[in-house]
This record gives sequence, structure tokens and C-alpha cells, in this order.
Amino acid sequence: MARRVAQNAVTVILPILPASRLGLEIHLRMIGDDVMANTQLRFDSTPSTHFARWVVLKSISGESGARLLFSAWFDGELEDYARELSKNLGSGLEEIWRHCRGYAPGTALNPDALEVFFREFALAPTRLTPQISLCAFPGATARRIREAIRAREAFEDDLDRLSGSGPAGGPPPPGASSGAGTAGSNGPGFSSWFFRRLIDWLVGVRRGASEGNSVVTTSTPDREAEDRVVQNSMTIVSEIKPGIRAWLVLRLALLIGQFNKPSPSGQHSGVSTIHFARWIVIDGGRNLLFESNYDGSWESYIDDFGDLAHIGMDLIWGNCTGFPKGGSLDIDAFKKVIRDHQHPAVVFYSAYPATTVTNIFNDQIIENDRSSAGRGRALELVKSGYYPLT
Amino acid sequence: MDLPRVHAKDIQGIIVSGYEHLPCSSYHFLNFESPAKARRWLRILTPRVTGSERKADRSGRPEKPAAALNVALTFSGIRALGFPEPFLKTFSEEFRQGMAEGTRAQRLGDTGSNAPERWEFGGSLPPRGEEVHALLILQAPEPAALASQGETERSGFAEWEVRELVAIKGDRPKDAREHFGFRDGISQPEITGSPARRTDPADAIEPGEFILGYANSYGMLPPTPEAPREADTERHLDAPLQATGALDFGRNGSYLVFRKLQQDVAAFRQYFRSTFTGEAAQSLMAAKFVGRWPSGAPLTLAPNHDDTAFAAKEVNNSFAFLPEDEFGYRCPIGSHIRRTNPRDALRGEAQESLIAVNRHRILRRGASYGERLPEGIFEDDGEARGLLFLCVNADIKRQFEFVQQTWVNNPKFHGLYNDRDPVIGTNTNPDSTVGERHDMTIQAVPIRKRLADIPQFVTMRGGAYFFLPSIPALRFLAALA
Repeated sequence: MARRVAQNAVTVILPILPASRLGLEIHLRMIGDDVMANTQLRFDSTPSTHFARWVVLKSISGESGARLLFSAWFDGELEDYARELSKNLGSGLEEIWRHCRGYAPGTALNPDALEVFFREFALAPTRLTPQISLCAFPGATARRIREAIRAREAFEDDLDRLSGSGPAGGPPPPGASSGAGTAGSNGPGFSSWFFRRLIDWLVGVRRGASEGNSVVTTSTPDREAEDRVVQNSMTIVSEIKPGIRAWLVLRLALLIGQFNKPSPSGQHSGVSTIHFARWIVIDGGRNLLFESNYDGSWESYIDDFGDLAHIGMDLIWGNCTGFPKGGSLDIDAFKKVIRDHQHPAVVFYSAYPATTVTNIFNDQIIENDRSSAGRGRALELVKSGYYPLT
Repeated sequence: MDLPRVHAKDIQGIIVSGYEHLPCSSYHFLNFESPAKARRWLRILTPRVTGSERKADRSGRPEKPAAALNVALTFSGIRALGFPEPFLKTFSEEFRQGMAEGTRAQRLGDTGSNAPERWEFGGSLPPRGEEVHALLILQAPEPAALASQGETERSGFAEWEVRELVAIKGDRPKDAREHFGFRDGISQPEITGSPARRTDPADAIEPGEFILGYANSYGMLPPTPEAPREADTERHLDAPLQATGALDFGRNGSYLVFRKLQQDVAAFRQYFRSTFTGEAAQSLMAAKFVGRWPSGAPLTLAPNHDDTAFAAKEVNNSFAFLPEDEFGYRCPIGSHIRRTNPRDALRGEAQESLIAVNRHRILRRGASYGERLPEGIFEDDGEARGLLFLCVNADIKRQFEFVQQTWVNNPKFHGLYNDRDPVIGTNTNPDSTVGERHDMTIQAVPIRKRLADIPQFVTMRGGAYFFLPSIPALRFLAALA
């Protein structure tokens, strides 16, 4: 059994030197257009990286000028990751960050200096203002996820040979449907009703209130960046409402939310499409940053929020300006506010870009079964071509 | 909720009814050469538009219309008619962009052989004069009636400088089977409060999913296009909206999607003949791709052979997946009907699934085109045939586009790895690269069957997004200065 390694995130936001803005964006776009084969910055040379992104944050209220956001989700501790980045990507990072204010030239080339740089500039939660950090599979290193992908492919090839070319089908196994479809909920009880009303009251949501017509103003490039076939990134910066109420409720939401743990299949509150995500307060308490690495289309991702996690969404984003009065169930207005605060990634890297959270869960069913003898029933299902969601 | 009934006379008939008694149809794609004359044409046409109101006949039953005429407009058509420019942006974004726009085509799977550049009509950047502005839909009980109805309509085109770009004839055969040989149009949601027959409460959907101006499945009013008060000189539209003070142009209207989908019947038949041995296995596998037998009997109820006992109207759609078919051993997880309507099985829990699924339903109003390829023929005869896919929905991106992107063409649907809808999906073409090749997994115990490189059987040939205005909204457009 390998030592359990934690996954961590690092995010750095630096102002872009005005004179460098255009050149930097072109440079980043060239990397982003060919993230796996460009000659400038190849995250696949850093084995600890799961996901990474570069985002140009355009003028946000209260902050002057464009800023450059870098974030990465990685295995292990930040000190070790700083060394890995400096060693493998030092000159590529230097070429980018040298266009930012506050960055001392040469930092990325020196492992020690990069470590100090991260300690100084990386966004960090405080005890009073925690972050919500979601990770589908804590402890699963990028290397292990990739190994499981390969193991599963080999396993399926074996099954292909075993299944031959005769007709499939046949009777279901005994007990295949036992328990299925009977786990219906009995409707919300008083406590959950009370809890919802409490949240509505806290964040000022009025159920059924509609924002009326919403005019969406997203540009085409944003759309292209958000609808890759399997995985996508989301970066939202929203302004926190002024006043003590929003301050308190948001801290409460973050305090509760920081304990959100994934299910064994990588789901958070039933949402099965989040690899990594986090909410963290930035800019001295003025703005809330949300970063997510998710599966599938933008529409289905936000629909999942509305279908499965609208209470959480209201509790968090209800403290931000522009949030719909009807809450996240006013789905069109909710989508509009997300879009209006979204900044597309210029560079988005994934260590396993063709793999969903549910795929990883099933890959591990196969891998675990090969190394130990557990999960017999799940493996039986996988062999039969049914990939469990939970 | 019977609000739609109150406003039935204002709602175009195609929204509320599939007109089963009018199986012959024609679709006329029109271009307006002169805005002023097009408005005159619309003014004269509007009284002939079939509404949803049904007068009672002598025996007190609602009378069915002897023929139907409906009209829909593209974004460029509405603009050409002179819709007030600043308010054009209140139409939904996907409608404004159109079906052929790059990112929309990408999310619909209209790439490669389906790409808009290859369409017969409606494609991207048409030359001036070739833009689709309107779609006129005629429906009649038999071919002669349709022909005379078509003649009447066409006779006015020249005078009003309305140019017909394309006309397609559609047909709903008596056995209701599409060209691959399967009974189609079975699963269809019903509008809550509409007088139509009720099959399954799970299929009763809030009116606002299909008609603007009513609560949708979120309990919200769907976004609606607006018009300025001063443009409504003849006062056709209702009271202004509270939120903005503008007039609700969309109320009692909806959005319509049209897609001409060519079916390669010979390739479909050849695939099963060359992949499986024995007729029984061949028809079982074809049924597994669809999820139903040719009669319409669902595999979940009739897993082993086409059992017409399960093909009857009362039973063919009254089923759920979880109770007996959770794992897809009867109806495969990636089959056509499980993707286009996942019912109770979208997620682990039935009720939660139904709520989520019912936020992505569409009303289908399609027909077939072209002659059938005779049974037993495996060679392509060079004739074009396929399906005219029409659907009505209040929110194209949340309904039609979502179904297409997140269910039909999503290789990761329900935990799968690399499968798309094996019947209508954007699948493997001769020029497909590795990443564009897709499988079909047939769940089975103890070991599944993985079919590699599923050929693409259906090709997109043309289409557009339309708005189906209410009848007062048509009058409003005709009266624009």
C-alpha cells in the first residue's frame, strides 16, 4: 500500500504589466491551443500535476487592470511542487510571470525562490475565512489515476477476447434488480423544510421570484473554451455584497462547506462531475473566487447545481452581488450571473483529459480488484458492461 | 393549470397537437425579398393559421381541423420583417445565433459529415437571397388535399416576393414506422392541463416547458422576447411585462427546431447482417440499439422477442428502467431510447431522476421523407430518405440542445466511456480519427459485448431554429411599420 498523498491546490493572482498584456495573451493562447505538444510550457512534464490553468482576469470591480491567474491541483506539499515546477517548467513559467507586477525576474528558475514566491503570493484560507475545497478522490495521485486508466483498457481488451462475437443479452443474473428503485425519498421532512427556509432568509432568497428576461452576453471564444467534449474548467470571480450579513453568512457557508466530503464514487452532494473545485475569498475580502475542473457541458454542470445542490449554491453565492432573488432555482438568471462573472481559461491542462470522475471510479474498481479481492459485486457489474455511478 | 386552454385560439396548433389525422405534410422554407411585401403576405396568411382552439361538433366532441397551416420564423426572418432592432437581443441567444453557428454546431455534433457547410439549406453564411426567413408547415389528410393546399399557398408567393428556397414533403405512414423499420413517436410528453389523452403522469410536463408565458418545470416563467409598446400600433399584444415595462412578444409562442436527418437504411441493415450471425441475433441487436422492437414494444418489457402484447398504446410507454432493467441487460444503457428519455434511471434515485429528466423534454412533431427501401434489400438504391425532425420547446439550449449534447452524443453518458447514441449519434465515418470512433456496449451477464467503430447511420442535411409566434404576435409583425 502506497503512502497516502494529499492533493493540494495553488492559486496565484498577479497584475499584468499594461505594456505586456497583448503579447502575454498571445503567448498564452499559443500554449493553450496545443497544451500537450507546445514547445513553451508542458505540464505533462510535471508528474504531480492533475489540472492547471492560466486565466486572464479582466477588470473586476474594485481591482484595477487585468490580472493573471495561475492555478494548479497537484499531489503532495506545495514546497515539493514548487521544486518540481521550477525544475521542469522554470523557463516556461519565467517567460509568463516576467510580464507581471510583483514578480522578481528569475524566481521561477530557482527552486528555493519559487517556494518563497508561492508562500508569499499563493491564495491561502484563514481560520476565520476558510475555503471550500472539493476533491473527488482524495489520496489518488495523478500517476495512480493514469495507471488505472491503462489497467482498465487492458482489462476491457481481455473481456473483448472472452466475449467473442456471438450475440449478447441473456437473462439478468439472479437478484440483479434487488433493491433497485425502492430507495425513494419520503419527501422533505420538517427539519429540512425549516433548514431551507432558514437559508432562504439568511441570503435573502425569495422562492419563485423571477428576474424576468435575461440577456446573455457571452462571446463566442468563451463558449468554445467551455465546451470541450469531456472536461472543462470554470473560473468565477464574484463581488461579495457589502455589509455584515453577507460577511457572516458567507463565513458560515465556508465553515460548513469546508467539511464537505466526497462519496466513494467521487460525488459531492450527488454531483458526479467535479474533479477538483474550490471557493476562496480573495482581494482582501471583496471578491469570491470559484475554480472548478468538471466533466461535460457547461449547461449540464450548472443544471446539476440547480437540481442537486441549490441550497448550497444559495448559501454561498447568495452573498454575492447580482445573485438572483429567486435563488439558483431561477436557473436562467443563475446561469446569467455565472456567465457574467466567468473568465475563460486561456490554458487548461488535464493529466487525464479523456476521463470523467465516474470513469475514474470505475477504473479503480477494476484496479482494486486486481490487487486485492474486494468489491466483487461492483466488478461483476463492470464486467457486464454496467459502470456504477455510486 | 389550464391556462393554455384559455388562450388556445392564440397558440399555433402545432404546439399543442401532432395532428395524427393529418399524416401528409409539406415544409416550405421561404426567403423574404421585400420586407414590406412580406408583412403584407403575413397579414393575409395569419387568418389561415391553425390555432389550438377546438370547437365542439354536433355530438359535443372537439372537432379536428380538416387541414393545418402553421408558420415559424428564423431570427433573420424576424429581423427582415422589421422587428425593432434594440429588442432583437431579447430573443434567446441560441435562436439569434442559429443552428449553423460554430459553437452550436459543435455542441449538436454537427461536425464532419454533419457540418453546416455541407447542408442543403440553413447552413452557415448563405448568400444574400438564400437565407431562410420563414418555414410554412402544411398538413393534410391525404396527398391530393396537401397538393391543393400547397398550390393555394404558393400562388401568393410571387405577388408578395416570397421566394421558396426548398420544399420538402413529409409523410407519417400508417404503421408509424421510420425508415429503419421501427415504430416512432411513442414517447411524447404531454402539456399539463392540455385536453390530450393522459398516458403516464411522469410524462405530464408544465406548460412553460413548451409555451412561453406559463410556469416551467422550475416554477419560473421562461425568458421571453419583448417588443416596445410604441411598435404595437394596432394593439395586438397583451399588457406590458412587470419587470421591464415592455410588451411580451413571446407569450403563447414557442421555439421550433427543424432538422432534416438522412437515414442510410442499407448501411443500417448491412451492419447487423455482417456483424451478427443468424436472423434472431441480428434483429435482437438492432432492437438493442434502438431500445424497442420494430412494433414499438420496449425491450425492458419484452426482452427476448418482439411481443406485440407490449406494443399497444396503453403499455408501450408505461414503463420505468429501474425496477427490472437497472443495469441495461434488456435495454442497453447507451441505447437510443435510454439516452433520449432516461426516465427514472438518469441517477440512482427514481424521483430525483424524473424531476431532472423532465427539465429536458421536447415535443416531437416530425415526419418521414422519401420512399422506403423495400424489405430484404441491402444495397443502397441511391434514393434519399430519412426523418424530418421537428420539435417544440420553450428553451432550445436547455431542452433540444441539452438532449443532443449531454445525452445523445455524450460518450460518457451514464458512466460509459466511449459510446454515443448508436442510431442517431455522430458516430464513425470512413474519415474519422481515433478520437471520433465510438463504441456500443451491450450489457450482458457475465460479460458485456463491446461493439467497436459503430458506423454513422444518420446524417444531418439541413435545418434551422425557428420561433413560432402566437397568432396575435403574427398580427403584430404584420403591422410593423
